[in-house]
Amino acid sequence: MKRTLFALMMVLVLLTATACAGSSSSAPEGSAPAESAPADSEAAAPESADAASTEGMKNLEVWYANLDANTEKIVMDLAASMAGDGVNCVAQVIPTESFRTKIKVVMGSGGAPDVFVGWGGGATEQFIMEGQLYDLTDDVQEWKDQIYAASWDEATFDGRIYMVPYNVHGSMFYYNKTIFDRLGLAVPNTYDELKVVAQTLIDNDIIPFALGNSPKWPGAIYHSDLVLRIGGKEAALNALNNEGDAFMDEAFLKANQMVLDEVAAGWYPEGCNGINYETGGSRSLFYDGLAGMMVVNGNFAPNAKVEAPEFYENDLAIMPFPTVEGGKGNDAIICGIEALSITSKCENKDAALEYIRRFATDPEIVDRRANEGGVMVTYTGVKYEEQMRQDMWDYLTGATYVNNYIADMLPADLGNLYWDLTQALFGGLITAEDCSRQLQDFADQSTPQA
Amino acid sequence: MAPSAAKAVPVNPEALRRKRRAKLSKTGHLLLFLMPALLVYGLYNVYGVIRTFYFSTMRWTGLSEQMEFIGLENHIRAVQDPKLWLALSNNLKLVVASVVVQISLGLVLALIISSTIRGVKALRTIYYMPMLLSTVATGILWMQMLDPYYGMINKLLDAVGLGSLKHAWLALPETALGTVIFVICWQYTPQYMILLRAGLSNISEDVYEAATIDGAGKLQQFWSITLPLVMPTIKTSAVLSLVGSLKYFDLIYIMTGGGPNGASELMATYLYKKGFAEANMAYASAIAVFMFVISLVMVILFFAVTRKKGEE
Repeated sequence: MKRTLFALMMVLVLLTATACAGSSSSAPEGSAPAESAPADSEAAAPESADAASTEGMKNLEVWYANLDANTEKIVMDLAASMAGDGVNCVAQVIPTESFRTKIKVVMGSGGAPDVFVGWGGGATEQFIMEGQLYDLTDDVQEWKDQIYAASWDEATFDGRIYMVPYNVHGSMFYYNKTIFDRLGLAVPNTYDELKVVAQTLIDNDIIPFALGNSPKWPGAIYHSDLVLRIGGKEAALNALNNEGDAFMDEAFLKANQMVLDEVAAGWYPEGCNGINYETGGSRSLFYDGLAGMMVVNGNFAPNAKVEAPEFYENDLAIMPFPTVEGGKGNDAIICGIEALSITSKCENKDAALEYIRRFATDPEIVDRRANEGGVMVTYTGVKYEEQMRQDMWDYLTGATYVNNYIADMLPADLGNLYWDLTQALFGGLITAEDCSRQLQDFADQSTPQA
Repeated sequence: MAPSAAKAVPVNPEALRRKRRAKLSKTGHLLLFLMPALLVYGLYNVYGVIRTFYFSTMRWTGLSEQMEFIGLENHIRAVQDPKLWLALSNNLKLVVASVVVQISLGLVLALIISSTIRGVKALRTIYYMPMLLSTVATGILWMQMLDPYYGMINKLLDAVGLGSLKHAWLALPETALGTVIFVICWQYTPQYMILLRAGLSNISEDVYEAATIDGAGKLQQFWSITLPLVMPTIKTSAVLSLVGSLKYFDLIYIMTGGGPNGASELMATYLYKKGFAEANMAYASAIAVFMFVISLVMVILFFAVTRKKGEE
C-alpha cells in the first residue's frame, strides 16, 4: 500500500516538474502559431486553421492592436484568403494597452509573432537597435509609390525602412458647426482669431475645448501641434536629436506658456486631468454641446459616428489647426502612422511580405478598410465615400511637412516625461520654464548634446 | 538490515529506533506531499526573485536577449531617484490608510455580520459586493462617479448643499491620491471583514456567557474578550494589508496613471512605467529589489514591534 502511494506521489511530482519546465521555456521556433501563441481572449483564427488542414503550410502569425469590428472582419478575411497561397495565417487582435506590454515581453522572451503593428518613433527604434526587426528597404521598392510618401519618413530609420505604413492618424481640429453657426462664429484661421472664438464660447457658457487629459496623450497632441506651428520642422527634429537646447527653445517655451494662459483663461474643462477621453468623459462634453471644439487624432470621427450618429451627421466638422503669427511650421501637420513590421526571427518572410503588401495596397482590401473600417489609409489611390473623410485626407496630404506626435517620436522614457509634464501644464501645476528645463535636463542625461 | 532479535538487546532501544524510523518516514511522506506545491512555489516565486536580483545587475531593455553586467549601477540610480522616494512615501500613506481604515472598518463590519440582528444575511452579501467586482470595473465605475461634470459625487454634494466641497477629485495633486486610497479601502475592507469574521467565530460563546454572569457590559466584553482573542487575526490581516499596500498597482494605474505630475505614483506603477513603457527592464528589476527590501524590512519591524508588545 505504502509503495503504491509512494509510486503515485513520484508520478505526480514528475508530472508537475515536467509541466513547469514546459511552461517556463519558450516555444520552439517554427512551431505552429496556434501552439506558440499565448492564450488570449481576443485571439481569432480562420475557421480552416485546424491541425490537419494546415500540415505542410507556411505559418504566419500577425498581431494587431485594437481594431474596430469592421476592420477586424477585413483582417480575418485576409488571413483566411492567405490559405490559397499555402499560408496558414493566424491574426490576433489585442487591446492597445495590453499590446504595448505584451509585444515587449514576447520580443525579449523569444516568442515574437512574425508580423506586428507599430507606430514608429522611439519605441520602434528600440526594437531596431536590439536587432528585432527585419530590414524591408529592398523588398518594398516595387510598390512603395502606392503609399502616401510622407508616411514613409516615419517608417524610415537611418535611411532604412523597417515598417510599412498602412494607416495615418493625423491630429485633427474638430468643432461643433451648429454652435459656431448659432453664435455667428467663423472658423478661426489664426491663433488670435481662435482666442476671440474661445472667449465668445466662454461668454456663452460653453467650454472652448473638450479635453479629457487623464490618459495624458490628448493634451500632448494639442501641445505638439502648437510646438510644430511655432517652431516647424527644425524644432521637432532638434528635440528628436537633442540639438541646440531644443526644449529650452522658443517653440517649446512659447507653447508651454500658451497652454498655461489658455488654462487660466478657462479654455478647458475644470479638472480636465481627471476626465478620461478613453472612457468617454471629454467626448460626452463635445457630443452634448457643453464644449465647442476638440483636438484629437483622426480615430475620433469613426468613434463619434457610432457613439453619437446625430452629432456626427449634423454638428461635427473639421478645420485646419490655426496658424501662429511668426510661426515656422504653419503649413506642417502632426500625423502618426500605423505600420506593420516583420520580426527578424520570422521564418516565412516572403509570406509575411505578401501579407503586408496586400493589406496596405490591394485596392479591394484598402477600399474596404477605408470605407467600411472608417480609418485613414495610406494607399494613395483611395476614394472616400464621405466628404468629411475626403477633407481629412486632403488636409493631411496637402501639408508640406508631416511630423509624428512628439511623445511617440521621442525615445520612450523622454516621451513619457513629455506626457507627464504636458499634463502638469494642463493642470497649471508647473511653469513654462520648469517644464522645458525638466525635459532638457532629462534629454541631456540620456543623450548629451554634441 | 533489520536488527537481530536474537541479541539480548533491551526492548527500549529497539522501540526507540522503530519510533525514529516511523518519524522519519512521516517526515518523508510530508515532504513528498508538499513537493508539488514546493516545486511550483520555488520555480515561480523563489527562482523569480533570484532572477530579478540577477537582472537588476545588468543593462537590459527586455526587448531582446542582449544584456551587459553593470554591477550595482541600477541600484545606486534607484536609491538616488527622487521619483522613487516620492512613490515610496505615497506607498507609506497607502499602508497607513489601509491598515487603519480597512482593518478597523473590517472589524466593525465583521461584528455587524456576526451579530444576530435582522437582515444580517442581506448585509453580509451587500458588504462583500465590492470585493466581487473586478478591479478594472471598480476603477472605471468610480472614475465615472468622480467625473467633475457628469459624476454622481459632485452632483450629490450639490444636492445636499455641500457644493463648496466639490472638487475635480482625480485631477488635483492634493486630492488624487486620497481619492484613490478611499476607493482602495472601499474595495478591500470586505476582505478583512471576512478574515476577521472567521477570527470572531473561533471565540467560544462560553467566554461571553461567563463574562455576562460576572456582570461585564457589552463594551467591556469587546475590549477584554473580543479584541484580545481576535488579535492574532488582526495581526495577520495587518501583515497582508502592509505587504499588499507596498506592492499595490491596479486602481492607481487605472484611475490616475500615477498623475497628475506624479502625485499618486506608487512604486509598482513606477516600476511598470520603467519596465514596460520605457523598456528598461533592468532598472525596473532594481526597483523591484528596492520594493522587496522595503517590504521585508517593514514586515520584520512589524513583527518585532508586535512581539515586543505581546511579551510586555
